[in-house]
Amino acid sequence: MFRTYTDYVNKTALTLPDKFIDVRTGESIEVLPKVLEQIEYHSNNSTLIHLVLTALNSYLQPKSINNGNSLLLEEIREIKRMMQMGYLPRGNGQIGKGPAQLNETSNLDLNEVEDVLEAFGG
Amino acid sequence: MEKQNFLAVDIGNSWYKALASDNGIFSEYQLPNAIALFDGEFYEKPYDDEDIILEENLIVEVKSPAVIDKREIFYIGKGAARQRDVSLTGFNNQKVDEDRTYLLLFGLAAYHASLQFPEETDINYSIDQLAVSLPTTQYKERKSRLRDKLAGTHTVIFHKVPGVPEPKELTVKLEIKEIIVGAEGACAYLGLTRDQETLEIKNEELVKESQKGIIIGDLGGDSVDFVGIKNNRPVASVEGEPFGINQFLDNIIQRVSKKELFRFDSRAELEEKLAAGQSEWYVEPFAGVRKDISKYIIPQLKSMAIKYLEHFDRVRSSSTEIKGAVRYIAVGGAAKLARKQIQEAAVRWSERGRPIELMFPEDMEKLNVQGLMILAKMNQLKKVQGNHVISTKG
Repeated sequence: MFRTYTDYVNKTALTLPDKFIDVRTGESIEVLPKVLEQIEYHSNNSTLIHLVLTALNSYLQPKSINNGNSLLLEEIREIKRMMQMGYLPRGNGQIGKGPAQLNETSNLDLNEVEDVLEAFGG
Repeated sequence: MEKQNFLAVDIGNSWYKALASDNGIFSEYQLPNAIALFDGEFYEKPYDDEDIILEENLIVEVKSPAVIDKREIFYIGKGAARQRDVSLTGFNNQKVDEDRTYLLLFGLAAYHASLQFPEETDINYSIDQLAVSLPTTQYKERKSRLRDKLAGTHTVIFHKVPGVPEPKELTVKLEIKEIIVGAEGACAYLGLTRDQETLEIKNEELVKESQKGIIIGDLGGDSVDFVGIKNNRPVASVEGEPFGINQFLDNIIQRVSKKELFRFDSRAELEEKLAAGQSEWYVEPFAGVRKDISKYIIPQLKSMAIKYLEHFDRVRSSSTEIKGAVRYIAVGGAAKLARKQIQEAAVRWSERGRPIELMFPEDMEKLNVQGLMILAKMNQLKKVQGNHVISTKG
C-alpha cells in the first residue's frame, strides 16, 4: 500500500510504501507509525521539505550531531577495528594453543627436516 | 630466535587460501581467484568510509619484476567478483606465467601486512619464508621459475583505501626472503600428519598406513591432484589431471541465468552458497521472489562426483608403486562441497565390485595451506639449525 503526502505550498510530494530498504545496510524496514505521524504533521504544516532535509542531513552526517561523544565513538571504532582483524592485539604473542613460534629446541632432528623438505618441497 | 614472519598460500583456481604467522600470531585469509580492471570513472563513491570493508574493496597496483608494468590498477578478490568485467581462471591455466597469480598473491600478502600496521600508510614488510603450491602437473617443470619470480622486493599500492586521507593510498613494500614450493595434494599429507606447532608427527596411524600406500585425491577448481604416499613420502609416478569443480559451477551459473533470470557475480558467490548448505540453495531474481536452484546444483555435483571417482580408480590401477594402497583420502574444497554426492557415487563402485572407500578428513579444504605452513617453518628450521651446526663446527 502506498500513500502520498503533499505539501502544495512548497510543491513537495512524498509517496510512502509500507516498507523500505535501508540504502546503507540493504535491510527491509517497516515505516514506523511515529514517522508517519511526523510526515503527516509536517505536510499539514507545509514543512515537509524541511523534515526530509533534516532527516537526510542527520543520516548522511551523523557525526556532526554526536561531537559530545567523540571519545566514546573513537573507542568503539577501535574495538570494531580489532574485531575486524579478528586477532588478539599484537605483542600478546599467543593465540589459544600456546606459542606458535618456532623454537630451536624442537625435537625434530635436522635429518628429518631435510628429508621432508626434499620429499615435499623444492 | 629472532622474530619471524611466515606466509603460506595455496594458489587455488577458485580461492587463494593463506595462513600467516607473524612472530607466532596466526591469521587466516581466503580470497576468490578473481581480478578485474579498475576504472575510476565507474567507481561509486561511498556515503561513508566506514561503510567499506577493505577486504571487499582491494584495489591494487603492483610494481614488481614479476609482472610487466603497464601501470594498470586492478580489483582483486571479492571486489573483483562484483565487477562486470571480472576475469576468472581459464581451464588448465598455467599459474606460473600469468600476471593474475602475482597480482593476487602480492595483493593478499600486502593486505595482511596492512592489518599488521593499521596506523601506517607506508609499510615495509618482510616475509622470512613464503610457501606456495603448484598443481602436480605444473610442479616439476615450473617450480624454480615460480621461485625466481617471487623472490625479491615488490611494491603494492592500494587505492581508495577507506579511512585513509586523500589520495587514499597505502603503499606496502614486500620483501620476500626465501621461497619454498610444494605440490598440491602432497602438502595436504603434511597437513594431515604433522603438528602445526611442533612440526612433529601427530597421526602415527596414517604414517603407518603409508607403508602399504595411501592415495590422496585433491579436488580443486581446475585440477584434481592425485598423490601417492608410500613410506611417508610422495611417490613420483602419480600425476594430476585437468579436471575440477569450475566447469560444473559454470554450468550451474549458465542454467540459473537462463531459466531463473538470475546472474551470479562469480563462481565464488555460487561456491559460498553451496558451502552454506542446501537451505541456502535459492536465488532472488526479484525482491521477495525465491527460486529454488537445488535442481540445477545436485545433478552437476553428481556428475562431478562420478568423474572424480573414475579418475581415482584409474590412478590407483595405473601406478605399480601404489597398487596395494590401503587408504584413499579426499581433500580440497570441491570434495568438501560434493561430499554427499561422492559418497553416493562410491556405493555404485562397491556394487560393481571395485570399492573406493574414501576418507573425508576434518578441515579437508585447508590441509594444503596447513602443509605449506609446515614446509615454511621447516625451511626456516633447516636454515637456523644448519647455521648452528656450522657455527659449532667452526
